[in-house]
Amino acid sequence: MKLLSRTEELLLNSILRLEENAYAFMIREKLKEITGKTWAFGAIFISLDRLEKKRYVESFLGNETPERGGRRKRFYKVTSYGLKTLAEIRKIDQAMWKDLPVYLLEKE
Amino acid sequence: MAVWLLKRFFPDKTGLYTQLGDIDEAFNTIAREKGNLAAQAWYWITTIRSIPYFIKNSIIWNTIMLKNYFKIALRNIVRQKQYSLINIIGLAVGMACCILIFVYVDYELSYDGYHPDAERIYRATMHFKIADRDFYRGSSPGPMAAALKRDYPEVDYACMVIPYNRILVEVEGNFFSEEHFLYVGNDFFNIWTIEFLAGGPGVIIDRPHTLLLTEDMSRKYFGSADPIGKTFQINQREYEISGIINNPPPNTHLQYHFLTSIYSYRTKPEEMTEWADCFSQTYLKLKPGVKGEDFKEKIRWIAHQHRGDYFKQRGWTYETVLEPIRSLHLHSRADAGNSMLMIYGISVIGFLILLIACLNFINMTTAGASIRAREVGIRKVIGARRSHLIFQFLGESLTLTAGAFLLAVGLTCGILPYFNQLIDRQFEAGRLLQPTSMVFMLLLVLLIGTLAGSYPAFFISRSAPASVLSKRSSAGSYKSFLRRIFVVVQFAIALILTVSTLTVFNQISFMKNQELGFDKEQKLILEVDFNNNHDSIKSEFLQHPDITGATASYHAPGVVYNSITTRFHEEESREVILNYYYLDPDFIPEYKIPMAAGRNFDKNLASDRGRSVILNETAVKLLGWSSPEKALGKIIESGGRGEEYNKTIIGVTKDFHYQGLQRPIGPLGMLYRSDYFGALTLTFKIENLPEILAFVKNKWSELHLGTIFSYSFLDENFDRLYAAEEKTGKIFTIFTFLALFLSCLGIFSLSSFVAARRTKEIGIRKVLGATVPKILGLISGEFVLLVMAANLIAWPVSYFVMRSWLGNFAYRIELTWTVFALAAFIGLLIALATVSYQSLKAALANPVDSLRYE
Repeated sequence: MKLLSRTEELLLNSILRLEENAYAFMIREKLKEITGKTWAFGAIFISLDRLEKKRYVESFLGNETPERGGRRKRFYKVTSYGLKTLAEIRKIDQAMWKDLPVYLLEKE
Repeated sequence: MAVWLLKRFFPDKTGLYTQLGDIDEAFNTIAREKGNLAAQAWYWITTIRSIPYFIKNSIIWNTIMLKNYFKIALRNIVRQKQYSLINIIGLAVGMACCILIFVYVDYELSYDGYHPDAERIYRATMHFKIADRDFYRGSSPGPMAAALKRDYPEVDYACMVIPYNRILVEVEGNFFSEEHFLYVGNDFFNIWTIEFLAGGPGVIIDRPHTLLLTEDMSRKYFGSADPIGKTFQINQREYEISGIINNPPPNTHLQYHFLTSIYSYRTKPEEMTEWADCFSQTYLKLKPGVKGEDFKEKIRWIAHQHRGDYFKQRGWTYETVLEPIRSLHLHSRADAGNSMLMIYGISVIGFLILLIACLNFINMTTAGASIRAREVGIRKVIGARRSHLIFQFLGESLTLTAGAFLLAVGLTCGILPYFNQLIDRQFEAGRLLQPTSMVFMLLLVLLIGTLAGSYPAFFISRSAPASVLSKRSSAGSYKSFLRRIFVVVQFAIALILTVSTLTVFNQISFMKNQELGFDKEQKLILEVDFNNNHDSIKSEFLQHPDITGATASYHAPGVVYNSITTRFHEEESREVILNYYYLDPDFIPEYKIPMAAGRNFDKNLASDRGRSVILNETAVKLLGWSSPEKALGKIIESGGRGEEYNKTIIGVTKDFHYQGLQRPIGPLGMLYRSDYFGALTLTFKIENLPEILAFVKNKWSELHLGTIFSYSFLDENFDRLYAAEEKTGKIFTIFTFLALFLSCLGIFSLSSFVAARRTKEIGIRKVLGATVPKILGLISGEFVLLVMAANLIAWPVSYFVMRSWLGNFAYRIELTWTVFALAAFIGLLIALATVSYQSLKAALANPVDSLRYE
């Protein structure tokens, strides 16, 4: 298993959360919600491409809607491999944070 | 706009632009929340922010690859010094040639284009038919301009112009011979593009005998002083200078140095009413939107409308032709301008030279490319796409072409003065910077670079890496076949030019050495103002012991003087046209012209003066007598009708070439009229020429024979008639040398290439017992065959081309096989000499060295 980058982790996380509605625009909104920052589309597209290449996610085309200038949506779905990876990361994360004493974080 | 940019930047393999869709959705959301403007601003910012990344990315990778391409190209050039040098030099010479020719052709085509509305300006000229002979005159009848302006609403402006090409100007007692003196009608200033540096057209229109000078003339006579108000003496009249105008550009058919009003002319325009006389030129400017073709039809018979009965009675047709001003230089039948044929010819030659150079270039790049097939294979394995390879090879050949081009520009600037001399023009290097030349040169580089690089770029880049790398690839037979064809084409071109050059020079030497039917050696020609006392003037000159003869005439032979006078045979109502010479009784014996019948003029017979005529044999035939004897004593009318125009034929001379040999001998009548003399011919002994000249000059001023002393030698004058042909010959020689040189460069590098490839074969042959001559034959033989094949192409082509060129001459050489054989011999010899260096090197090489190779 490989470790994911933080961005990839965040992306996978939001795709998972969006369930059936995971396409770039919504992912961006979700990321904004989670991180509180506005993400550039470029960053999202590139990361999505990479995730797809590494087979963490798969994509399929949706329907056209007028508010998109007649262009179709590309929906993303986390693959089973992606899910597995995410689960493992979660385990590591939890292990990592579990016994970290809080006061260490609050120094100064 | 932004959408377009984004589309360019996102390599979207599905082509569905789903990503753009996301951005659109974001756009709409923002628009809904914060308004349209904010959304648009956001859209733009997003787009623009992405540009730097995109550019940075492509620049980094492109420079890395470019550096690599450049390095490889440089290595290739250095590794094959000889080929590269031949490539570049050959191409540079070809291009320089092409650039020069382009400059020339561009210039010739630019004639009279400097008028902003040149397409509305026309010249009305006459085409008349008299006694079945066609005459094209640049001039038109005197009343033409006025009639055009008065009767035709289509005409905006019309004016008459009377040009004097030689005029004497007296300034403070000194005489100067000047040319390009124009009497112009008032509308001239509305038709022509003239810039006034001082004064304006008003004065010369209002006051006759005032003068406009060009800048150059003003500088010549007055330096930096102000010439306005100063005076010139011209034709016994005082002309006051009223203005200065800019110099006309050199590329115009109507040059002028001095302009004066038509009212300064000896007859007022209102008094010029004769439609049968053509002595002035007529220019007109049509109203915008009037079609020249339509108007031409309308005024075609304008002369007949005014003077129809007169022309009808004489059986003449007098047709008006409208010539667009821009076509005058190259297309006019009346002017001795340049012909379009010359332009086509020289363009074709330039193209052929360039073709030879290009074929060399392509040959050498393809030969080099077969070596580089492996490089292509490896590049492909590493991951180069085909487009990358095409880019690489095209870029390489374009770079090489650009290098050759720089050299070519240098060469062009170096040759320009010689080129100017050859074609009689004054070009400056600055012409190369004109937009038209720049575009042409850019196209030239692009075209040649692409063409030459196209073979490796498109064919080799296609090859599958596995096959290229696995086999020890050898140059395919297809390529060597192509190469052979190239050599044949190159040599065919070179041989055609060789045959042409030889023929041109044969014809020139034929014309120079042909018997003219009279004696042209040791004749000195003077221009003299006789005042009816030619006998005493002649005897003054004859005092010198070395001057053995003198004769007065209107013109000396060689001047192409078409005195067109109509002629009437007393019995029939048939007119013919004769050329006339006015001469004294000494002319025929002095020029040793043999008589066919009858007698010479007699000084002592009063009836011989003006009332007797001597014809040449052609004239006799034309007038309808079967033999010279039958013509004797007959009476003909010339110049008009009635008793006073009658002349008795007293003699007939044999035909002699009084014009150049380009023309057939025309019918000639000779008259003894002392009031028409203008030239004095002196026969001299060759020994003491400087002293004779000094004597003649002294006598000439002593007797006040004219304002400017000018003399010429008759044989030189005759040689000068062939100047145009000499020029053609020179141009052909230069191009022939270039073509042969470039072809030789080609086979030189090709033969060295072949020799290098066959090193081992030759080594083995030698080991097995082949002799040096046999090996020489092996390599050279192929090239000899190629040159032979080139001959087969060149012979018929050059035969037809030269036959049509010789068709211009009334007296010409036959095209014999010797010329072709000589050209073939020259071609073979040069080819053999070129190839033998390489083949000899290969043949003499020690087989031990060549076989040790691996």
